[in-house]
Amino acid sequence: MSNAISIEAASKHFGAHTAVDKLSLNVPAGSIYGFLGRNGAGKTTTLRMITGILDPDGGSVSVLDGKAPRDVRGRTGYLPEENGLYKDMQVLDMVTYFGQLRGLDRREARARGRTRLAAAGLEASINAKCNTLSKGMAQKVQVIAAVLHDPELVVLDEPFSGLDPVNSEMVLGLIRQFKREGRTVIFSTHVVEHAEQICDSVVIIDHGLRKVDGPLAEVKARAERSVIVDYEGDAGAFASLPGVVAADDAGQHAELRLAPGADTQVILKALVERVRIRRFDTREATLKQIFLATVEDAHDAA
Amino acid sequence: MTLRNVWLVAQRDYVAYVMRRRFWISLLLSPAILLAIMLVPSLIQHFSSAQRYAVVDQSGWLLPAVEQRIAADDYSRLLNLAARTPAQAIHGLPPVLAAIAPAAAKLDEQARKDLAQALAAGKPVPTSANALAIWAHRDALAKWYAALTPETAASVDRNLSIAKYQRVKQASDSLRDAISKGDLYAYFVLPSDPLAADAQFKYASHNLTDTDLRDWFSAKLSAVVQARRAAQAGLTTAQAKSIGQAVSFDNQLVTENGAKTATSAEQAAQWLPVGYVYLLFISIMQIAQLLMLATIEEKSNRIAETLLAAIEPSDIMAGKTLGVAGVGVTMVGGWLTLILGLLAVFGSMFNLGGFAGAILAGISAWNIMWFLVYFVLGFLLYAAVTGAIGAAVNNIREAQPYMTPVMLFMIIPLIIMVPVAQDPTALWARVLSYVPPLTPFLMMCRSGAPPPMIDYIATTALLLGTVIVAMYLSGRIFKRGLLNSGAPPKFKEMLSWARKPNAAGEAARGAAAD
Repeated sequence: MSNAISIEAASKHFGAHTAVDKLSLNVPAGSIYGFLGRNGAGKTTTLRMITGILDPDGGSVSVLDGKAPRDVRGRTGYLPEENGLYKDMQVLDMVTYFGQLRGLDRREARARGRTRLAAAGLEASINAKCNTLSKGMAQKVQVIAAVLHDPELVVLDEPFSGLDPVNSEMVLGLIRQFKREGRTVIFSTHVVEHAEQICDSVVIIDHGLRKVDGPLAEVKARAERSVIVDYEGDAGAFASLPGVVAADDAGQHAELRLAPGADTQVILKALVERVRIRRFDTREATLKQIFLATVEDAHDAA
Repeated sequence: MTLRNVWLVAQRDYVAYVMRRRFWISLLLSPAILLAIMLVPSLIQHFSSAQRYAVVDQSGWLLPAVEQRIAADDYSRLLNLAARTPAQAIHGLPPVLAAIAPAAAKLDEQARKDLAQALAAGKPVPTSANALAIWAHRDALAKWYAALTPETAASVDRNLSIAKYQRVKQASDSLRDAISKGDLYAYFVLPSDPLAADAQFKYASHNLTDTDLRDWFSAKLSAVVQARRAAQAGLTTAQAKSIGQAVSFDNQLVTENGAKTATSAEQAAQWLPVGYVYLLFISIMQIAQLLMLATIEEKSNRIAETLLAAIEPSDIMAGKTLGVAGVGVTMVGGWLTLILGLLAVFGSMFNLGGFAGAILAGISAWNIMWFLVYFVLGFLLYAAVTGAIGAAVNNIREAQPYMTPVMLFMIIPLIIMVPVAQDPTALWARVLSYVPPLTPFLMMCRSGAPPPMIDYIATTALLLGTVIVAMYLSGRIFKRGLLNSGAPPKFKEMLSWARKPNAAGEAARGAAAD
């Protein structure tokens, strides 16, 4: 699969502060890619480099077949975190304006705007002024405006920020729809559950550095898993079992933390030889656990 | 820079501003206020009724002499009016004036003045044919004049004495009562021996601050008394007049074509540069501030980043500057149309025609051309500054500390424009006009005595160069400022943005955005 975004050792400094530090990553075309990190981790700066708003001080950022971001503005769409609307402008006029700025001619932009606003249930608000919209309606309008020109790459910075669960679901639905339409979607969030629901791949960055990245299943597989064991008999030292890093043994109930890549079949076999097993329950780490472990490690290391 | 994008931004900003109700309100309000300031005194006079006064004449001869003098001045005014009314408008005059108009037009000003005195005094009978033709109407004229009321007089000519001051007969013992009741505005007491050196004239009114009536009556009175005193001393009126005459200057306007006596229009035109400076100042200040507000609005609405992702910062800045300039041109054009239009309509109604005409006559194509050049360059220079400030701050409050020095600089031309207009060739005025931010104002201010061509060319070249550098540096601050959502930068920090647009000391702010 080709890459929609290739970042190689990109760095961005603001004075003495390093916002992004030699970051490298590839975003596969057609995937939904989640950008996770704490506040101030470097997410927005990276997204701004991907959209061509900022230039990296070192390294390179290329999008859509190795092009410089600024050269393919007509093929990318961007919804900034603190996005807004012209308060005094009518909804359709504003959507049309943003479509025109991305290269559509006026007639086409107006026609698309009308159709898509109607499809999003905003037909009655087409001629309303933007300052009369509710937050959820405004977010819909903003997303429609950001992708009116049918971009191949959609970049969303914190698209769930400030939305209630109903509107968050609406945005999740839009992202899934973009994927069905064959677009690449990259979005940043600090609500890890959203990423876990829809992402094909994720990256966790902290202090401008890439900590974990890859397809979600791989990231999870690489993470530390655990096994819950209920047993009868004398188990001896669980920690000596192959692939077990640590054990919390309460007598007839134990929780074993496994090394990345440890084979649960081997552990089960070894246990059966020692004790009578009543329950053997493998637990995968959630993305949230992976996220917290990653950024805490980074924090500890710092 | 992409022209299409510049045009899109310019168009949106222009339409957004011009479609707002408050734009039109301020467009209409500004000249309305200006006109009100100009016209209210005339309006007040127009609608105020004539001041009623009484005269107690203890001498027995002075009042008729003064009345005759007042009548002579009024006749003179009426003869001038009849003489100057164009043939096609004569039917609009009262019949008695219409009848004498053709003959009056054939008399020169001095002849009309002499005839007016003769008409008021009933002698001597004139000798010229045209004057005789008018003399034939003297009874009808006198009858019509005597029957004038303040209202009918004002409808003919607001400056006729009776339109403003109406003498009424009042018993001398009821004068005070009449004043306190409001029936009378004032009364005069003329002493029994008005020619004596210590003669005491008396004026009484409930309002001593409005001196129009007193000044007018005393001028007529003085003229009569001075003439009688001169006669007593064995002097002719002409001799007495020449003794009392103050020296007068002939105002010469020196131009490349030599010196000639300045007309009142030319003297008015000397003050035209002050008008240019005012207009330049108001329009540049208004729209440069508008650019700042528009940029702040973009930032506070959180639109800036969406725009930056779609088009280049230079497109945004150029588009906004162009759009706002369009708003400014619409505004100034609207003002000019309104002011000139209203002056044309009300000017004739309130006798401002001569003044407005003199001003209009002094406007030359050459000065208008330079006005436009300096308007555009001056706006671009100040727009570079206000655009950068607008991009760097988040709200108007934060913009205040930056705008204060800009405003202080901008009012320098207002402070020095009168001295410069009075002495446009002064060396200091010439030196200051080479300071680019002052160039537009000072060059227009010096236009009364046209500066040498080298000054036009050199100052404009210097200004143009400054505009280019300022726009370039401002573009860098603009780009960095639009993404800055934290505390506004210190002045030094802003300068460092101009030097290195992408890597300046943003420190915590860049991170705070993540």
